[in-house]
Amino acid sequence: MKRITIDPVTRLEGHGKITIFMDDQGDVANAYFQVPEFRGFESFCEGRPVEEMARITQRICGVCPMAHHMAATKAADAVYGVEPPPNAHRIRELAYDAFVSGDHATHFFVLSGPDFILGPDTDPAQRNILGIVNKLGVRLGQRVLRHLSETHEVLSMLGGRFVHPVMGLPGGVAKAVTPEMQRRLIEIGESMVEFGQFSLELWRDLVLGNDEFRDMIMGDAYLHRTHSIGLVDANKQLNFYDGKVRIVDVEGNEVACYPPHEYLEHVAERVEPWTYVKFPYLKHFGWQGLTDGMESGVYRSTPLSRLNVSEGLATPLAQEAYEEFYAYMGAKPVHATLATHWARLIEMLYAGERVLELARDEALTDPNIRVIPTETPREGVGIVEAPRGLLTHHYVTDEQGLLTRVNLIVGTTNNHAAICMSIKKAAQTLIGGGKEITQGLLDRVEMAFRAYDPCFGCATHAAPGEMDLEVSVYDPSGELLAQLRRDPSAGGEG
Amino acid sequence: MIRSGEFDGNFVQDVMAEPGGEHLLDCWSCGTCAATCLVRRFDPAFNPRLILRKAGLGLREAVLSSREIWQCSACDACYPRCPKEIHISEVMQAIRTIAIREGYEPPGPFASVDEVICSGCAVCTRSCPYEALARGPVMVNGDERVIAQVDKNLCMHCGVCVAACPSGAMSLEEFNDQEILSRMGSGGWLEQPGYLQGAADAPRILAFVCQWSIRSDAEWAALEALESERLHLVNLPCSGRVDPAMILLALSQGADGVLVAGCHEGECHYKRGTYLGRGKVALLDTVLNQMSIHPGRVRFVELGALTRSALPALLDQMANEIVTASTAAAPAMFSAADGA
Amino acid sequence: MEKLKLAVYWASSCGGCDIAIVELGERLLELAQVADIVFWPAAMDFKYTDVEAMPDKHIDVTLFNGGIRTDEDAHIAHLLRTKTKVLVAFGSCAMEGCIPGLSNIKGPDHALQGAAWTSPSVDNGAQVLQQGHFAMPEGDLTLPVLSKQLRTLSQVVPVEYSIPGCPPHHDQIWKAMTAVIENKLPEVGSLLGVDDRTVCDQCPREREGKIRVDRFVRPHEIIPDPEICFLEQGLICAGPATHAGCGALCIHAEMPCRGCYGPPAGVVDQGAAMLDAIVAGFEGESDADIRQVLSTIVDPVGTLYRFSLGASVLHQIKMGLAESGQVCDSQRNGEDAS
Repeated sequence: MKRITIDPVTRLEGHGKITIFMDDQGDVANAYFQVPEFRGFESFCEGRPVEEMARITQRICGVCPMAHHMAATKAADAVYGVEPPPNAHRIRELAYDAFVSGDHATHFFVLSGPDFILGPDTDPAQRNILGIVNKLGVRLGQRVLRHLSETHEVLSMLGGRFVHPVMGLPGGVAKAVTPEMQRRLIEIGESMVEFGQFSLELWRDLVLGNDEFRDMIMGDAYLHRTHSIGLVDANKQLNFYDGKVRIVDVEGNEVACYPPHEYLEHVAERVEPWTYVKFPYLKHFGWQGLTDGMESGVYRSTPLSRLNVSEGLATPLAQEAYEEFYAYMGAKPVHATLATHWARLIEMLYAGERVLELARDEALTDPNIRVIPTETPREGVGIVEAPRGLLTHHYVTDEQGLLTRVNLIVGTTNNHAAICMSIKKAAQTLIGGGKEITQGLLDRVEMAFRAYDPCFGCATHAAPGEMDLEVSVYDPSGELLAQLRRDPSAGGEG
Repeated sequence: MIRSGEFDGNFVQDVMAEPGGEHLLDCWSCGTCAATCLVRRFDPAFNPRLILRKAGLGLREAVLSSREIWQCSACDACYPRCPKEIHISEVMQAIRTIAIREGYEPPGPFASVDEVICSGCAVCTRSCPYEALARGPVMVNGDERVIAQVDKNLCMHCGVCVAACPSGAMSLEEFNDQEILSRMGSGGWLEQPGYLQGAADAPRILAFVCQWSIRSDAEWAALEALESERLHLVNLPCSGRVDPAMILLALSQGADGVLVAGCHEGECHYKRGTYLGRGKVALLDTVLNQMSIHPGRVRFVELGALTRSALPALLDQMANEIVTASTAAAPAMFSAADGA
Repeated sequence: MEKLKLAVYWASSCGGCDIAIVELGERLLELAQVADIVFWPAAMDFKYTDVEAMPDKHIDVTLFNGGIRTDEDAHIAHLLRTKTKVLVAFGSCAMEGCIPGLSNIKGPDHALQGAAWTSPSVDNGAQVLQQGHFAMPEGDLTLPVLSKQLRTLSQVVPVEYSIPGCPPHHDQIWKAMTAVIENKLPEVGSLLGVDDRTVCDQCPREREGKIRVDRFVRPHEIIPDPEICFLEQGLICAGPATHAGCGALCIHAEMPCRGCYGPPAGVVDQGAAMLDAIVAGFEGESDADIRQVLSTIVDPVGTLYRFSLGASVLHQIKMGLAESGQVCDSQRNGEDAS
């Protein structure tokens, strides 16, 4: 069979390659998405002190280091059974949401933006952030860079630096907020809200106002009806920093709403030998293969799913944007993968509003920011919403607080099945029937994964498990043609 | 022959008025201190009895201008043996204080600080057994910086600071890093592959030996006679001078084992050098264990007055342990799955 | 004047070094005036085939971040070496192994196979492992395989310069890029983008060196005095053994340094340097005192060598370079079988 390889995939975090097999009729027989990198964090974190995990696990990803830092910090709180003071939570959430906003902006403008702002048929040499600046002007480029620099400044103020910050400790945070810092944080919060609104305006003009993009978003090539997962507060509204995990099904009905330490009751992971990333699925539905629909265990954990599981958003401007979104898309939940970009911008606005809200809180300068743990450390789970999906850190330690076991289910890993499915579907829908395969067409296939803002450094941190192999072969309409199972105990391949 | 004109009664009073010098005239001149003194082993000109005697005789100029008053390292081997219970090193210190006041300078050798490299981290300051280092402001290339400075009046050139300095800013006049490294590699000893690499019949051991832990020339000669393909000796001014980087370099080249021989607790010629040497080897041992590096490859052995001539037997023991450990189940390249 | 051709590549990397370059902000736009970025998978759409098609030495400078973990990492390192005039080991992973280098303690097989039962969320079944080749109904799929140890870039190909840091600070990156643009590079083998001396030189905390400790504490066990040196409060800080260049950022965030800017100039083994610095501050006399202090130091390798294990002398005692590049045991069989 003829093979087309896209290697490496670009404008994302991490490594990936796409292999498309074409049959004799010139149609796509199958498309595989493989993640070819692996570093083994779950293994080499054994023996490390639990309070250092925030600084160690953040090296899983330099795009979302704060996500790991925060999940690790919260897991360490749980390991020690310690409750940080209220202002520690406040400072953490403020820093965290600033980080999410910066990360979302980086994704939209640097990573995936070129596909929309310049278009997938643009010369690859131009199809990047520099090309955006050329097209839309230096002022826009400067505004974007200013937003990144301001969100990074929040992390620098509170955690030393943006890439690999050092603020979290079990029991609280290391650095308090002075009145001077607070004034600056308020300024930045205001700027973040303004930028959030500016970005949504850009989206309305450049994307919704462009027929081709509008059709791509609403069309079938990128549509997958999957379950959704997200972190919500007591009002069942999205909160990036803390809350319970809520799952809603394809039709929007709640399947479960559980505290972090119960995650194992709801999620399990499968292993395939042709990619280093595992495939989480919902135990409630079981693993049915790489397929969408109500019966499948495949779920998504993205800005889109987060809005799907949220009953509105907790800040006013973001709530308006949320309502506009669902009204436009016509129903809730929304399953159009490319709409994830829109959801991401709405989240960015929410994050900005939340930062401003927390920055304005008088209690932010309370110097009581740490509690010394006193319990013997044992085991704990910390969950946050990484910009690209739910992030779970589960630690088991000895009595000294040294790790004996580490389990990480990372943002993009949640979406691995969906990403594979999205790439395959996009390839099968867009390629074939004798169409010339241009680099613009291949970019449209890559757009299928970029919507997830994937982070494959995150997704491939880890060690795989032991699995019998199942390969499912589908025809373009999604019907199962054949299923092959490999059971190593029987020897040979079936 | 001492002329009466050289006698200065004020000098005796000065010494006895100085803190530490109060008991100068208690001294019987019995010579027990001289018999014990470790410095005398290397420099027979040094005689603590004679210094106290001359001071007691008021020979100001002779005493203050001598180099011997600077050689006492306050190891205090003599103190518990003095029948008059004189803390001799304190008398020495009192005499030195007077010498400094009157403008005499110690002859050295001293440690020195590279002012461009030094970051003022204060690690050396903490390590020094004599508080001979302190941070102070200095103009370096037009900038004022706060960096380490050596007090020559106190520095005993033990080298503990040179080993401690993590950025290589400290150096000694003798036993400098380059010198020690070149002695380690002399004769190409480190280039021959070792027993654990399957290239030698028996384990090859590099031994860092504190020169003060070997109490006589005869002992040293006996050791040097063992120098061979299997054993390479490098003497150090103190076990506290040993640097784990040197041990690691040796292990990564032709040394199957590295032995560090130093003094017992309480018998260190430089007060706390042996504590630092033992501490470094102990911490390095935990590092090597955690890396699942073959056990028994690094050892600290304590030598002293009651364990003379023990070193050859200890070297054999170390070699045997390396062999035994290697013929037992080959250690896993990496530790067990659930270990840390 | 012809624009410089610049490439940025990530091997086994977290992407932080690429974000550090994005953090140049508007200076990135200035850079684009004088340089064309001809390969940068994080931000641009050039593919491996584009690089393969370049003539040798076509790229003026390649900033290579990430450690060499797989055969693909090694292959691209060789490819970029051939196509590049000046190859820079960019960031801690490429220069000294960084945190993923800690996998050299237990090895890749432990990571690939041994963790199956410790991963509580993984479905149980027969033992299947990622392999280099896998036959799917439509054709073969390949995956890069892991080497026995994580290696640094210079352990695989010759390198002209290194820029330390996890990640390198963007001001330092700009300093280095300015040197490139103005063609004022120091002698080959130097570090770029560093300040002189160690982090202590940039640390505002007080230290007179008069305090030694008889026990160490961990960062969450005390609320430290904000003015005084961490080591003098019994908190391990890698500052004395770490190259200056970051501006002591973590210290300013009230946390001790962990050594991400690599060893001071001329120091080959950062862990040994740290060990020296820490023991220098031990109080005590007896072996029992030593045992007591050591009992309060947890995870010595992970603390002393957190960033530098890959380049350390320590790790070379375990496995020589020749063997460290070979395929790991768990995947060697799979390769042979296919």
